[in-house]
Amino acid sequence: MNSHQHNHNDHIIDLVQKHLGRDLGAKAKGELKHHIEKCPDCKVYVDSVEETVKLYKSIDNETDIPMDVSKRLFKVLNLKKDS
Amino acid sequence: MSNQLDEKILIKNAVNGDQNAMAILVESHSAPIYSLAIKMLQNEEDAEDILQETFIIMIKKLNTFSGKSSLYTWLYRIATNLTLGKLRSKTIVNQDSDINNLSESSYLGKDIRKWINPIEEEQDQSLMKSCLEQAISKLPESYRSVFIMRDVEKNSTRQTAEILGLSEANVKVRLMRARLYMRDRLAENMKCVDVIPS
Repeated sequence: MNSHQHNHNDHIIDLVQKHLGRDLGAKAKGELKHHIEKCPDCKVYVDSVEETVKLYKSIDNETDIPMDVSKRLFKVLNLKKDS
Repeated sequence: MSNQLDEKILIKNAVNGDQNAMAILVESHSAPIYSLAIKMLQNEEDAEDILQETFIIMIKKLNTFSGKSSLYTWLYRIATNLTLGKLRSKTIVNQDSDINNLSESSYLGKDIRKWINPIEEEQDQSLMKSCLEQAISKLPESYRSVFIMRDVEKNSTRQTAEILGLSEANVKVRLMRARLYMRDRLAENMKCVDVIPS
């Protein structure tokens, strides 16, 4: 494991976080791309965090409501369920 | 557009006492609300409580719904607030998580290595799934809610801050830490190589 102290200024950290949050404008995207080309650590960081979020979303399918949970919901609400 | 119009008519009818319209509204929104509660609470019984409480409130307060947002957004806020209340009331909180050891300066996290072909085999996918589920369940609720609302539910920083009652700066810090925590837990199970020092 690589214990790494990365001395970036706040501006670069902010750009990376905005990029990951999809809050980055075109100009700032270019600036970040330029930085990442020279900084393998930032590239790995961005790639691995993006991969993590992508993987989490890939396993995160909407949970179907079990039939008994749905029935109890309608009963509590005193509503008639169609099916 | 027609769906929105249909929903407006259903809401109007439900407010006027049409039980069938109310049942259709409940049926169409119950799955995403239950899904959200499961993700946030990691517990089926608690998620069912949130589901029921959310729709009890919907029925009581539907006449106050202004229509400025979608009905789902309105229900989502109700469910999120109820969920956060439930999480706060629980005594078991993962306060000893490694996440609290991440300092501002260590924004890259602990494990700065490139991942090689992270998911190739079905076996790996199953491992990653279980690893991610374990990681999300161990995230302290204040971080888990931000991670889910920003990265999974795609709310903006401002929306997340408003719903959770946090400052935008606080949302950003929590999101960064949550991502790092999730990434580091996943990295422990990845086939990695060290980055070539620059």
